[in-house]
Amino acid sequence: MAKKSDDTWKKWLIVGVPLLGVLAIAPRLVSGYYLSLLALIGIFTIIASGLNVLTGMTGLVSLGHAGLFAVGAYFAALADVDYGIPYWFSLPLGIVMAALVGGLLALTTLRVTGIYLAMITIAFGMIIRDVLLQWTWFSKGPWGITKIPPPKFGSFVFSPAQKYYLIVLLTILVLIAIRNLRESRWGRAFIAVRESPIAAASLGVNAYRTQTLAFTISAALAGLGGAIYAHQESVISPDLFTFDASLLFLIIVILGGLGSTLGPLIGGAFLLTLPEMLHGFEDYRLIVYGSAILICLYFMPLGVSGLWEEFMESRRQKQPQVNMVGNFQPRFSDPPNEVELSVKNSQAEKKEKSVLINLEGVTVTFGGVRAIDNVSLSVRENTIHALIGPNGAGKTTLINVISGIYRPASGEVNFRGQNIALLKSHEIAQHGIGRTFQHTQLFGEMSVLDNILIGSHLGLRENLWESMGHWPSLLSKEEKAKRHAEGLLDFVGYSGSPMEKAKNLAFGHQRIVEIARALALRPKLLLLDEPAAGLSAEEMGALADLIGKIRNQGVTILLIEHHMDLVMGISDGILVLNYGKKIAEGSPAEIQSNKAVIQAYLGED
Amino acid sequence: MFGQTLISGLAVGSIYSLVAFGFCITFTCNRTLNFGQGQFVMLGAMLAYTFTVGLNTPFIFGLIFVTLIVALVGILLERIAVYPFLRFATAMGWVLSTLAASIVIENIALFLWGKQPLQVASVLGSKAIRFWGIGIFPQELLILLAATIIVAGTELFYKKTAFGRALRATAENEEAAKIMGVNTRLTVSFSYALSSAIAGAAGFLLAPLTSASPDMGGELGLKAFGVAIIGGLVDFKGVILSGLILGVFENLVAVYISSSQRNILGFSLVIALLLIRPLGILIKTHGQKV
Repeated sequence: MAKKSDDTWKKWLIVGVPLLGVLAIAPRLVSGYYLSLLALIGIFTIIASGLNVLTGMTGLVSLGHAGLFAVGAYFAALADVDYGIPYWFSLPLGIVMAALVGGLLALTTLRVTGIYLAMITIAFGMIIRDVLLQWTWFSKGPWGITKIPPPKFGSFVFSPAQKYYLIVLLTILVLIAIRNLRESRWGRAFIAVRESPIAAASLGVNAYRTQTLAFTISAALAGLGGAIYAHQESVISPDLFTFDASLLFLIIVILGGLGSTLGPLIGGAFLLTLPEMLHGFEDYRLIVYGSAILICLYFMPLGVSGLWEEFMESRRQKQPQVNMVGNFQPRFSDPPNEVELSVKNSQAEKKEKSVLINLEGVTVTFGGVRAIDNVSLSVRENTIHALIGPNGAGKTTLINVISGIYRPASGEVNFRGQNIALLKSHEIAQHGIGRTFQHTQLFGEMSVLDNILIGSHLGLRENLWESMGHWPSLLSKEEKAKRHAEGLLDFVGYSGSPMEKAKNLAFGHQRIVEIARALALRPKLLLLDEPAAGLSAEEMGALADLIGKIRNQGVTILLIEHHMDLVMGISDGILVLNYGKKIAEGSPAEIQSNKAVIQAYLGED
Repeated sequence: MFGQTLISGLAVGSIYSLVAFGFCITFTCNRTLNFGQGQFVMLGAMLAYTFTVGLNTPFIFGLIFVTLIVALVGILLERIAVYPFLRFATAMGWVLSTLAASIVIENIALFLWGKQPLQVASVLGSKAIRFWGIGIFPQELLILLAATIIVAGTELFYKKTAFGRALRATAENEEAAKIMGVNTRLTVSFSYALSSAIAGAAGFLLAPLTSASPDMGGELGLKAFGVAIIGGLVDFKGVILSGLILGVFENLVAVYISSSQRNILGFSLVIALLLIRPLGILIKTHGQKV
């Protein structure tokens, strides 16, 4: 862990210090034209940083950010030119208006994602540009707005060099805020929603709200960029805010490297200086420009930051590495003090025998097929309940009903006395039901530690400003959550590095990390969908111990499993499903001698 | 007046449908599409000028040459800007690469033909035919006719020929088609050729109505993409219908409201339809199954 932050600091020092030096003396070195080019790079970096939150972190593509750029620019410019509202107020106005428009667009359209969202944003961008061209009472038509005053303090008017320094400062602030955001619960939620919306929801993350937030942040930064641009260039007109501009923002993000903090700066610097370097080509200029983009996309699909990471990776590989053992070790300690698995485990022990979850006549249909047919089930607190049955019996469907992925056609799901059958997945997680998946759904591109921290998303009550500012109050909360996460990893017996990317984990590790992640939610009820599938015999024994330990911490467990040794060894009660119907229920001994069960598993006689 | 608006709306709409139809052809084949399809229409229009005005080629030969040339460019595009980008996990690769290619194509056209809009005379003359008080340019009728023939012909080809079946097999499951002996590289190449040929033919037919210029493709391509999306991308009928709807709607707006609101309301319609029927205008969303 310390190693990682050392590396990060080194990276920032190597890139940052010389860069700052050059930026500081730039006004002495270059003429006005190049100075405004540098300022422009700053502005584009701000806009692309916002788009990076949306596309790089959250995985949503917008091809209409020029529209939001325009909203910021026009509102800031009109406020200043028509109403004399000074720079320091028109700038926030541009941000707020763009955030409002972007937020509204996201609220109404984020039911669709992917290529559909790309289309909606394209249409949005085209509408805004035509509004600027046609609604002349507002936008002053095709010639745009001129004579937008530069920033000033009272009678002190900023010179070009001072304007430049102001933009450098704003750009640096934005970059720092985005970096902080990335390392916060919000940044983790953005990435989690991108990597696996279902798993994110199972940890209480509301995907729709998270995506709307990401869109709004990116809109606000596009607005900021627009407001700065208007005052920097003193002229704006509709032909700036075209589809090509939206495309340019996206290419800056991609070539810089999706999700990387400095990526937008690198991509922006490259793409804005490229046309300058191509001056010799004259007529061929845009042909070469387009080809250059094509070639860069081909050779650097992950952008400059992707190349850098690959380079660092290849260097790391040369060093002798601690061998990461694939299977996890049965070396459980009692959870350290920081690790509280359940919200109130002491209380849970007292009323041990009360019913925690109770399913009443649950039926699930898929287009006429009854996947679950009138199943009832009750699980008492502090017990381990197993759900077994042949393949296709509807076990996973039942788990999906409890965790809110499916809605039952009829029936009730009462959890702690409340019917949760119609709640959404993330709301059910908020009620204290955690789960794992039959095919593990870790967030592959995130570190093991960050995977666990997503489980603490709900527990970390930090707001957006705290996250972007990285205030000390936040750091202590984050530190606590990290210690808790590390404690959980220890508790489940994970022996690898917490900084390893989840996608690189051996299978057994994936299983237990997923359990640790669900535990980070501090659930009252934990649903395990075939936790032993794919584990070695040794690992299975460790898993049985682990499940027992989790129960002893006051967490009730409902698990699906095919390995009968495991099921019979640890379960307090068993429910057997076949073709969506309950065919038996009882203690392990009762189930083992039940004729209907034997028949279902072995066939008729 | 209304009939007039309707008919010219249908003519514009059938251009949208044709270009959008080109998106469907490649998208059903291997889940990619050429975002620069509009620039291919432009290429068709510019070449129409070169052949019919510059070289005085007879209409039918001009149409054939232009269609073939644009089809070839389409095959090249697939080789250069689509196939190499499929190895990357994200879809962003080919979206951006075809857009970058469209920048290159547009600027090559600018370099070859210049900025000025070029006039191309219609082979059927520019005198409007009048019936029931409605005046129609013969070229508009030609476009409607050609669009019908192209769409019907393609459908027939897909359904009745062995190669058509191979195309549909690739669309259904590329790996399985490969195992069954279908040369999927060939079918993908062919889809791009066909899709580009249709765009080229659309450009050739459009040139006499609007004149030809290098920047004519961008907005058209984006609109056609909108049409393809609201039509449902893989639903041919839905896409054709969406194109006609958008064309007529835009014309109605231009005539009865103001031509300046045409794009604003047109794109608003695209967004609205997309939100009401995200899977395509002819496809009802069923109960959600996750």
